[in-house]
Amino acid sequence: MQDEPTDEDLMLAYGGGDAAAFELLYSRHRGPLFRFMLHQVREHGTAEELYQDVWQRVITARARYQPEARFGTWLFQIAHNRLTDHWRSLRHRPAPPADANDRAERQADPQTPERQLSAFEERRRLQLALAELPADQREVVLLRLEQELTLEQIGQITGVGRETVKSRLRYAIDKLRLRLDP
Amino acid sequence: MTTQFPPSEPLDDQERLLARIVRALPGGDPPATLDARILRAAANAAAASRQPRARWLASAGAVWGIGGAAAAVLALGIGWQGIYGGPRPARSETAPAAVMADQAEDSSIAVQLETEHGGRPENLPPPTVADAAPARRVKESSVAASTPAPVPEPFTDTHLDEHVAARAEAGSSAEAMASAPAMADRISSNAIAAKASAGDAQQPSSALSESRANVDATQAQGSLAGDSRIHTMKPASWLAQIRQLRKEQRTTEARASLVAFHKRYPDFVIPSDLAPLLASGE
Repeated sequence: MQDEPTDEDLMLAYGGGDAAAFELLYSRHRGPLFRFMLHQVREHGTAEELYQDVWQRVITARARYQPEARFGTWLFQIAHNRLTDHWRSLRHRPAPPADANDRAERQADPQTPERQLSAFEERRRLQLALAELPADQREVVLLRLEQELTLEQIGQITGVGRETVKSRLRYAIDKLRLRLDP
Repeated sequence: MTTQFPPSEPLDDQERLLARIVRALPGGDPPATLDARILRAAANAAAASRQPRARWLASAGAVWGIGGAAAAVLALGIGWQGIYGGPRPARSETAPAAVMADQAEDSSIAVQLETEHGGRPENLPPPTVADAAPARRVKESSVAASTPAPVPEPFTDTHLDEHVAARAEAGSSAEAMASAPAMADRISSNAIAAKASAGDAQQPSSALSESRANVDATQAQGSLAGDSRIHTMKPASWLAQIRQLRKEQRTTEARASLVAFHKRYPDFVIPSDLAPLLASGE
């Protein structure tokens, strides 16, 4: 039985003009990338714009691609750069929802019968907690938890060292845990 | 080709617990129309990659010839003036610095178009080490790709003119060309580099001309006439501005700007929150 082609093989094939290779590559990464963008910008229309931009950049760079890192790392590096452009164009970092604190505190009341969280409540609390995180920490924790990337890979994507990634991840996870289990 | 990468780091228990919840968060998938648009763009690009490159190579050769001829004419002209001491032409009111500034401004437009039509966009992580150089070349020279190489006005530096004239008197046209003003060299080489880069992106020059025409058409939009910066905006910034206009209840301006955006970026999927605005303007 023949092994599945790697992402890197597919990207190289696409660079050589094989459109079918891109389709397979796209199908592997469309969901994770879109969710990453959506969880970052928290607005569907903007997420669609940025998502399309990222793939356009992949298409543009097809002939120059060299598999010096995993394709996923490269893809999310492009996404990180695009997000950086986005935040810069807005001149500010995304703010948490105005009532995030109130809502989170209400949800986190340990005296209520909802001490035992349902799955729905868990998701809601985590969503609020993610929204409250600084963008740097949110990006790192999503790359780690959703994409299961290594600290090195996250460092490559975000342009910071392993220790910085580790520190951001630790802070982010502590905050998420605090919200889930006050 | 198989490349070995470092092994992945499995999530620890705490991370696994959080990951389970994160993955269950509502997020969804991209809309099918967006998938289709991206796949079509990818297929078109792949089809373009397979076309022979002979045509753009021939075009590049023609540009070499034109650029070389322009430099030779310029050098001969300067030499002629040096030898016969003819009346020095009056200095144009447009200073060289101003000309360069104009070119830089125009360059930003051309780069934006090149990006839109498949060129290397800004802020792309380097897939290869050699990647950055062609991109810079395009950025510096895209004006030359879209317009014929302008003949710069004669230098007014007396020492330089004398130097060039002395070389021309020595009868060496090659030397005279070598010492010709740097601008002529830059213009001709920029034209070549930009043409090559345009060819690399598989974009015929007519497409670039058409895009420039679209920019002109966009500039003609009354609602945008007051803001020239919009022509160099990235799509996301432009759309953000449109959203801002709409938020400020300036619906007519927002609609006009969105129509202009759609004309300039016909392949760009209009975000779902703005699509009704466009529909109402058409």
